[in-house]
Amino acid sequence: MAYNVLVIEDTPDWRKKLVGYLIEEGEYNIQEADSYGKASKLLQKQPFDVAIVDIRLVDWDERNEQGMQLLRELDKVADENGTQSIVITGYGTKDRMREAFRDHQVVDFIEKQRFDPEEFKATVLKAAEKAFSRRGEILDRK
Amino acid sequence: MNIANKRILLIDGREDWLSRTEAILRQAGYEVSKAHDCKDAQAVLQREGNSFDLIVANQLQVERAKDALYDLIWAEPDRRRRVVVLFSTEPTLPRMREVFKLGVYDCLVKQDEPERMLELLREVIEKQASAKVTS
Repeated sequence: MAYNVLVIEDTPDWRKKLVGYLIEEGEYNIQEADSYGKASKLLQKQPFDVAIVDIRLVDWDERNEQGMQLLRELDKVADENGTQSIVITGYGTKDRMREAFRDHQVVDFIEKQRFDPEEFKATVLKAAEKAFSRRGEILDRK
Repeated sequence: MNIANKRILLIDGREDWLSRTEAILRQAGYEVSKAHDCKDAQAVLQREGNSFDLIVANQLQVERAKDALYDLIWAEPDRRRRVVVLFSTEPTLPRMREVFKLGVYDCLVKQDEPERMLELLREVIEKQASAKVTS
C-alpha cells in the first residue's frame, strides 16, 4: 500500500530534496505545494497520510509563518482522516516548536540546519503508519 | 479557572526542591504527590490512581530515563498522560525536540519566583483543559 504524502515547501531545492528522499523509499504517492494557497487547495481536495510543512512559505518575508496557519487547517483534516504533520524549518524558534508539538501534535519539528535524511525517512514512515492506524480508529467510531 | 482539586504529581531527584514546590502548590490549592524519578512515579500512579491533571518532571529525571518517561506518558495508548518537563536553564532546540518527541506535553524553565512558577503551571493546565484530546 502506498501512503499519500504532501510536501509543502516554497524553496525549490529543499522541495526537490525532500521529494527525492521519499521517492527513494518507493512507498509514497507524493504531491507538492510551493505555497499556502496551493497546499490549502490540495488539503481540501484529497486526504493525505502525512503533510510535511515548511513554516516560512515566502522565503524572503521574515514575518511569514503561513506554515503555522496550515497546521491549524491540518488539525481539522486530522480529525477526519488521521493526517499526521511534520514541521521542517530553517527558522525554528522555541515558541514555534512548543506551539507545533503542544497545540498541533506534530510528529516532529525538523531544523533544516540539522537535517538527517535517514532520520527524515524513518520519521515520515512512522507518521504514515500512525495516520493509517488513526484513520482506522476514526472509521471504527463512525 | 478553579484549581481546587487539581492534582499534580511532581518528579524530581532533589527532596528539598520537591518539598518546597509541594508547599507552594498546596498553598495555591493544588493536591500534590511526589516522586523521585519516573519509575517511582509509576508506583505513585498505581497506588494513588490515575487522575492527575498534570505531571511535572525535572529535566534530569527525564533525560536519565527516557524509556521510563515514555512508558509513563503512554501507559494507556489511547490516552496520553500530560507531562510537563521543567528545565533548569533555557533548553536548546534539539533538547526540547528530543523530549517533545517522547510525547511530552510542554517544556518550561524553572522559575525562582513561586508566583511565576504557579502562573506557568496554571497556564498549562488551562491550555490542556481547553485542548481537544487527540493523543
